[in-house]
Amino acid sequence: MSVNIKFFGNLAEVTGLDQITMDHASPVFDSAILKEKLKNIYPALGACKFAIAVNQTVTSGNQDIHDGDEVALLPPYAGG
Amino acid sequence: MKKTHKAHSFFVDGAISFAHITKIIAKHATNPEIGAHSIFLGQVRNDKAGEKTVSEIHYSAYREMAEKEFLKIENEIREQYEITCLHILHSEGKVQAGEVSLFAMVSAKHRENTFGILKELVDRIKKRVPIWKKEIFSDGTHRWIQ
Repeated sequence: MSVNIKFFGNLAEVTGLDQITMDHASPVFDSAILKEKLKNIYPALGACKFAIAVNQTVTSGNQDIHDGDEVALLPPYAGG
Repeated sequence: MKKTHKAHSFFVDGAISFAHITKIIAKHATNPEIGAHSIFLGQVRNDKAGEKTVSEIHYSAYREMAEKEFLKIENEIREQYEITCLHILHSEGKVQAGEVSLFAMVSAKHRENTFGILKELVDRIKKRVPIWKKEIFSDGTHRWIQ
């Protein structure tokens, strides 16, 4: 399994990364598992507000994640 | 059938220039069906935080998703309302205080419709398009706006 996870806005600053890849060594089967794993790796994420998008669609509730999916962590939007 | 816009980017690198804005407005002279244009310009404000003043904003976006969402909003508005034309531009990267970072324009036969539709358009952009802003203060420090 290989899932690419992108960080945007202040989350890229908090993690120090634009993106990471989670593979078979640390598989993520749904967005709740992903959230827990990321908060373990980057404890500062625990204090951040964000939504999760899978393949460029924002999830509501827990959503399955599949091999090859593009996942993104999105802080509250501030366009304009 | 209403036409949908062809693929193009909604993003501009840095500030949106008045030359760019003027060019878009001027193009509509060729369409005498239009009776009214409503235009919104978002400008970077020199907000204060204690002693510090914002000198510029750095805009970043989830580019692929943002382009799709802009197009979706544009097509929704075209479907939902009787308008002739609609334009959206948004900055990516650095924009100085006083410069323009968002341009939205709605054109229709009559003015009554355009004010409300323009507000709806800007509200949807702010709510749904994945864009973030980092305010840079004149001393070089910054804060994220959420």
